[in-house]
Amino acid sequence: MKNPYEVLGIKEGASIEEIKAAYKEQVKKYHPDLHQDNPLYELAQEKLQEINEAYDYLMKNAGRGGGSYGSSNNAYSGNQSRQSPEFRQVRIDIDRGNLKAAEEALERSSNRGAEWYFLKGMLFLRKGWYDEAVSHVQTAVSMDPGNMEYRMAMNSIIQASSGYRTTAYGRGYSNMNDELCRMLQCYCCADLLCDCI
Amino acid sequence: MLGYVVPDKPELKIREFELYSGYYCGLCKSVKQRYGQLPRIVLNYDSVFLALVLGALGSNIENIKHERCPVHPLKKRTVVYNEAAVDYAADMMLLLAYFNLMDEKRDEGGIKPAAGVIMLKKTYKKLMKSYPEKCIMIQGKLEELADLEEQKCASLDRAAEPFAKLMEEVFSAESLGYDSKTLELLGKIGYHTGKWIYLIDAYDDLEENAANGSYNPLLLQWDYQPGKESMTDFRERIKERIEFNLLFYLAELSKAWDQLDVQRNRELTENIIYSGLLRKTEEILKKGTSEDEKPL
Repeated sequence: MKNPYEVLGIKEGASIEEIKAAYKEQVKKYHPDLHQDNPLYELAQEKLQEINEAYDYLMKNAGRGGGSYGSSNNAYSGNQSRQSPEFRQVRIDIDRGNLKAAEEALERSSNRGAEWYFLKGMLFLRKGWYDEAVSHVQTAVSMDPGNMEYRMAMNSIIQASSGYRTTAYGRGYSNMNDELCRMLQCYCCADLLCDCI
Repeated sequence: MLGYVVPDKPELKIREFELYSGYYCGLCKSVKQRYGQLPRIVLNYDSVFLALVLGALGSNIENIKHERCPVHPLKKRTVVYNEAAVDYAADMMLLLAYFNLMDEKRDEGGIKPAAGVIMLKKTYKKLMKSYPEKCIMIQGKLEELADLEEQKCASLDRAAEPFAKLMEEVFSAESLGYDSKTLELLGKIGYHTGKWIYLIDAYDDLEENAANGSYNPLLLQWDYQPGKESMTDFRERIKERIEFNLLFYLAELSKAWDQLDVQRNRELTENIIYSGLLRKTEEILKKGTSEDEKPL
């Protein structure tokens, strides 16, 4: 294993916050979803594996200042041992938008563990059922709190929703808190009525 | 479910406002030209959004006229004429109005909806000829909606699906000759607009539905128990989740809009998408809470 600090691009002795921030940034860069159908896919996956191992190692040994290299098992990766082979096809189907097949396979399965809830959530997300998506991914996270894949999915769902507001604010939307704006709103409503006449 | 999709008027430029009114009057004139005076009464602001989004894809300059009309005799109005997008939006508006009246007639009875149905019957027959598949599909979705209501469906997403799919159908204007990618994006805009309208309407009507015991998926999904909890507390409890959902719909809606090959109406339509809808969202979310103070 390479020097975990080097992999994450941080100085030795970096704080937990710095490690977390660097990890997030690296994962964003090498996330396999970004490199699908692209020659960099495998490279990105290998790199991600490295990043995960480095992160796991640093988090496990945080505050201990050293120790033996442990193996990773709780971070996001495109293909990881944590993912059960039973659901491999379901993942492929969801990725390709083959939602019906994925849904049927999930219904058939009797293995209702965290991964089942996670995949069901991803399926709902693709379908446009965001409320169900959030409930299911939330269940997956609470069943398996250490799983980074579920946590990151949850975060990106929440972010997608709040992203709209950020864009709107960027375009000059102001939330009418002051009295003048309120009056203006009122005036406009009245004005709209006058327009009808 | 009408009147939620409107621009944020204080933020509009005068010329954008004129264009908006032009589309509104254009809808009205389009109905009159093709179906006569009576169906004009179903005119609404939400349909302007459809006309604007579809109109945004046209490349020529709008045919704009200034003229008087019997409803507004004093002032000349801007009217957008001869727009395929406006005609299509007018057709969809009439279609939805007809189904809506049928629904009211069945549920509540009374003279008003019955008279409306009779009035729109002829128009509907014409529409059925122009859009046979859409009519059948929309009718099917409305039946699904009624079934879910009957079954007291306790899932917001499930309950909203038929209406969202219906709006997806309404926005997918195949007859205007768009390519499949554009139709898909329009469908997405329709689907998320539908979900947004459904949820905002459900949240807006909570008190009323709880009081008269009528169906509301939110009361069921989050298990509202009248004796144990005030409606203010209930709103407070579910508000964050509702906000998450509403903003998610708007995020997806704006994502689809950004991918469209927009030729005109950009500022005006984006005023609705990024300001009008957000303003309405925040206004409805504030309802029934301590922040909900009327201006002086």
